[in-house]
Amino acid sequence: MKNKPYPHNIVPQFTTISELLELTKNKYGEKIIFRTKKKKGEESVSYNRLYDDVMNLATYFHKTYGERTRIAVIGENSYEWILTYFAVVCSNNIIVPIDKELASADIAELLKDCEATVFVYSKDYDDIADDLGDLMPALTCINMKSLKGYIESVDEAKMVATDKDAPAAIIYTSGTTGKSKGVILSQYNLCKDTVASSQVVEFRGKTLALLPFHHTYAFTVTVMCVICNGIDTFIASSLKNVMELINDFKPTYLAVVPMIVEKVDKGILQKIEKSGKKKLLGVLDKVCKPFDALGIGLRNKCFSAIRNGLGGELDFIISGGAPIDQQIIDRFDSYGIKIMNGYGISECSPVVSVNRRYHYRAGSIGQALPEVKVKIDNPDENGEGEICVQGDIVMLGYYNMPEETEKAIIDGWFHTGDLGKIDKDGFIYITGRIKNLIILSNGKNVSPEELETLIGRLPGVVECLVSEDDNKLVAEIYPDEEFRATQSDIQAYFDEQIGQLNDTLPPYKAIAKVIIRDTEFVKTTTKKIKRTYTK
Amino acid sequence: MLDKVISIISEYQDIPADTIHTDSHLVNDLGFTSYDVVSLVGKFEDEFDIEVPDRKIKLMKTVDDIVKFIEAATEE
Repeated sequence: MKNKPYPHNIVPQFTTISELLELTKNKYGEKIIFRTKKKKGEESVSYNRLYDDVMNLATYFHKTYGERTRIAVIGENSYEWILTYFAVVCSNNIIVPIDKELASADIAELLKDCEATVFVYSKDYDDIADDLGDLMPALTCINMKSLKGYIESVDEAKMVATDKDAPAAIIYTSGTTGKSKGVILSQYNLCKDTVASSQVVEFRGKTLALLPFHHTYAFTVTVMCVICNGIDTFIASSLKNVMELINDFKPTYLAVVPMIVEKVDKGILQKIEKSGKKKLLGVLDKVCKPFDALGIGLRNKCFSAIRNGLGGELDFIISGGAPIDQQIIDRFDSYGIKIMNGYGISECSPVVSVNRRYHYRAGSIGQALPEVKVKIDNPDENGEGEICVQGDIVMLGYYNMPEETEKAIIDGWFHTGDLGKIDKDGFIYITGRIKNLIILSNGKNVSPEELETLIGRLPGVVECLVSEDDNKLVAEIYPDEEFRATQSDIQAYFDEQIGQLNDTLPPYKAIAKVIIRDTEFVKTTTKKIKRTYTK
Repeated sequence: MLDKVISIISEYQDIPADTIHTDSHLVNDLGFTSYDVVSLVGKFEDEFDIEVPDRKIKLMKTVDDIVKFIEAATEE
């Protein structure tokens, strides 16, 4: 199929999660929606069971916790995690997904911020539950193991009426100020993003849910969209054996972050190098090209060895959360696997735009989803400016942060803080970040200011700046000169100090390298360190 | 066991085994990303028939950390 516009996929409309579950239960019934690996072997869940479990648990939650209660959830990817999320929302309560890499004290801060009174956790996080029990004595902690009993205790499930526009989820995201902001999403936000994404992405066959569910991208694309489209989904509780999972489960498509694609790409390149068939593959690519233009697909056969190494049925990969190298997209293209780069932000539920399977542009993040408007605010002479989004996918606001909300949503347009431009066909290109957030290739956002504040507290630090180099965090420190004179090895001293600080941080926030400066940083007129001019 | 651990790291990262030492830092010295470390642990799980909870992975910073973890896990 040639690279040109084609009609949107036909997708049923729904505005709440219970509507989605009812609609798909009626359509798919006993078809399997989720598979998980348990100690006893594989466990599968049908659409019928998913609906019944959610409705029973929602009935229990409604009876026990009433409505509008903030219920937090933490744990590795699991069916129970999804069940908790849906049952909380379907009982007219508010779900607060927690990043599983956070420390107990940080989680307590978030729970206090959103006034959560219930905390659902998986077995591996029982120590966190213990800590939170000490820090917040009024908090009710529920082990996910108990959910089965709660479900069975319900004699008759009662559908609770929910408001599609009311807050359904509070998702904490990194902010430039260092303080996490609670993004409030409604069911309508999430459902509209699911429908719109399904209208442009040809979800079909089987997939793996690899990314942690507390990320909105993972939740919308690998939970909501798979249910909506009847996708047989294997829930991966860990990223430990991604290649083995791909080979065993043979997915038709994957939704991942660039870091995973980069690793798969590197593995393929190493195998090609070792096999000594690099030249042959180059020839095959040239042979296939004229046939591509004619719409005749030879690549599946020519590159079957590579494709078989990825399960043999992989048709496309959705990449989001961070920029991806176009060279990797091109390489996968040559194997007959389309990488569709997209763009999203938690505040927009999160998918804003994505390249389509048969309509795309190199270097672009695709066109805006149906019924989503994207504009460039205050464009410069190159058409570059801040990317702004309008539509039903835009959040209700930041929790308890009216000023931040007003700054972010102006005249109905959400200001993303990302710089970009739009071509004549509506394809969007990201050109930079207005905010200082460091976005690592695994999609993790790191606020440099937050780390700089912590490093600034170490004895002997006058100034510091955290930046990213080759996907790793680097701290540059300008030490106090008198302090420097007291140390025999200033580098060793700060390496040790930073090492101790790293132990208190989630792994993705750990500083990989420390550079000691002999001179202070170049400053702006307002005496702020110039981030882009630090040498 | 150390030799086996080094051999797996060497193969995973495609680097000579003699450049890997017990005090080598996976990220700073051997060029691993956090995702690499998670994947690598998956390989050790298969090789030594152990189970490593994801939350313990961040404690594995050096080759020695891995060896000690596997020793403790296989003794249990």
